[in-house]
Amino acid sequence: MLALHDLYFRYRDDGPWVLQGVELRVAAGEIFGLLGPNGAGKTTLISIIVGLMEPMRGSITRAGPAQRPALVPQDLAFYPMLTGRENLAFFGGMVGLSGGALARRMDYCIGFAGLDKVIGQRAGRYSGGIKRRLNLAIGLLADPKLVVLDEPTVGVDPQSRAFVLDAIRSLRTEGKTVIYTSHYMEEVEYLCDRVAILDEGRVLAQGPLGELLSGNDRMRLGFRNPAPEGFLAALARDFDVAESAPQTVTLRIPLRRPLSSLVALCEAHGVELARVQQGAKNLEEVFMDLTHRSLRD
Amino acid sequence: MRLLAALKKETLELSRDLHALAALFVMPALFILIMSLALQDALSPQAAAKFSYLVDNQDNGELSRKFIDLFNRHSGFSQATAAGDPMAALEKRRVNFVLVVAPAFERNLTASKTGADALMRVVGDPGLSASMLALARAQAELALALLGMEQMESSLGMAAAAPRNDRVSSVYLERRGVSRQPTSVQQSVPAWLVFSMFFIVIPLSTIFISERDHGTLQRLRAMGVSAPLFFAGKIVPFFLINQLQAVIMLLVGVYLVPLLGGQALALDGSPAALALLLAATSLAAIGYATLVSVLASSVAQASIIGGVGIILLGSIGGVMAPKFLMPDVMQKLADISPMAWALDGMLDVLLRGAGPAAIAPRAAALGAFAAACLLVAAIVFLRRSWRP
Repeated sequence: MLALHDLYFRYRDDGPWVLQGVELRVAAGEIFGLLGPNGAGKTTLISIIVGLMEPMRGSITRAGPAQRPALVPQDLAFYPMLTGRENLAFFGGMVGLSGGALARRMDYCIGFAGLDKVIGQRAGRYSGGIKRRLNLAIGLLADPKLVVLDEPTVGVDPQSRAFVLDAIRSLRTEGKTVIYTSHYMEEVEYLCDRVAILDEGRVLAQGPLGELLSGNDRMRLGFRNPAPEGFLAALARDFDVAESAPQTVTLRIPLRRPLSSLVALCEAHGVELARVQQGAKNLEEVFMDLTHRSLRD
Repeated sequence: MRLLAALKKETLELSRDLHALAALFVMPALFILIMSLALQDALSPQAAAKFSYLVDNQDNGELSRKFIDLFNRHSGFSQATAAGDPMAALEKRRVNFVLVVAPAFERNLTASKTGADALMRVVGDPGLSASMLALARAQAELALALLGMEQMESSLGMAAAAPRNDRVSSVYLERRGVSRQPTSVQQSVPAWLVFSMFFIVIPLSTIFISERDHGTLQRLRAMGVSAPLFFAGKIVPFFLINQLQAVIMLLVGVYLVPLLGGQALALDGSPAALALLLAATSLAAIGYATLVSVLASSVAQASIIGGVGIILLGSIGGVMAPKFLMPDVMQKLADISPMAWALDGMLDVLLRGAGPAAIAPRAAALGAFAAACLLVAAIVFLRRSWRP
């Protein structure tokens, strides 16, 4: 669907490189997560992907119809003095829609974003969640094959976030390709098929989410409360413990004993398992390991 | 289609912005009303002068001489003594009006002949206020009535020749020549119209900067909207809004000001010249507003820069105080303000009957100002804003 090869970009001839040899492949119909700390080059990369800027070196290959990718910016990029319907009509006109085609796309987008009840009200009076949904709906007016979503859930309540995330997942079932950026790692884990981590203009890692969560030979256990010493000692005797902390233990796999014996050991010591995760780290830990912990702003 | 969508959007946005509507339409209309009424006496060319007149007695009979004598004694106006053509003296503004007694005054008076100018005409200077003209007519009618009474009293045998009362209203009024100085309404309407047209800097910059700062510009670019279309989407709607302002302000001058006791604005000039000048003024205002929008880094900054800028341009350019009241140095300084170019052009059209050819240089100057502003704005915009 989209292949970026050896992209370089900087804003001034004597300035630092913002993108340095970026290589990315996004397959058709997948949701691709693009992660990176502030200043990593995500916005620049997105701008190049949607055609706002040209790379100085490298190439972009887009498969399929020569249609512009749609951008759903992080900002609430619409007109608060207009109603939701007027906003959709205006932006629909801007992507070249008119008449029946415009009406049909507007109806689809209103339904998709669940805006039916508020579409006649001024957008400036919407709640934060509805504004986000309108922002998303506008991006879908052109019926794009590739949608770039730049932090689409910033500042919304959990209900609206769940709605937006489910709506984005439904785009995959419609055959659309989604590039998704967010600082909420759990959203990326929930949504994305593949992920790339960008920092200082370089792709530090990319691949399927499962692979990226490095340490596939590890199993991480999380406990509701600090585990007693006796339990930790028994665990170390029966299993190959890689790391141990009061509420978290990492075991090497394959396990020496069946998983059922691990559950039985927990029950015997009154330890309540809160989480069992294959892979030593969650996405946030992988991200922090790759990009380091120093502040970027 | 895209331009139509942009036009509709801008219109909707502006129509819901009550502050912008007040700034563009209500404020200048109020200024026109207030300033037209407040300056009515100050800008009346005869306000401090004693009104003088000349008589052009084309009848020269006994009755007409008596009539003139009666008018002279009772009117309170001062009869001037001038050799030569009274109309030439009027055009040179040596007198305020000429009382023209018709050649057949006596015969028409006794033969019951009626007609607008059967007995006399009062021909006024264009700067003479309507109320003064009406006063001159009333005094002429009074003199006619007194003449009739005098005739009836002194010669009962001449009853058949007594003037009829209905004839005394047949005094014909007209203005002649061109005025060099505007009256209050002639000054206020174009002045505040020009000012209000430049006031679009506030709503235009607000919309422009909001689009730039809130990601809408980026979104429009991603949708394939080109820079020329983006600019056209601002220029065309605000050009139409400027023309609507012009229509409303002129109507205020023509109809509303007289309702409140002021003079009515006379739209005697060339419509083509006025349209040309309004178009050029609008482009200059849009150019200025676009440049401010591009240069300002925030809405607050644009409001301050744009607002103070137009107040300065208006003060220098003769909007707040008429240019002809300024000392020579200030009058020369006024010529640097595009508002002065627009205002002088409109006064030329409305007051002095200038046609399209006569105001073409002023329109061209306004057009050049617009082009320069838009060019600089486009260069800065493409460098600063036409990328994320």
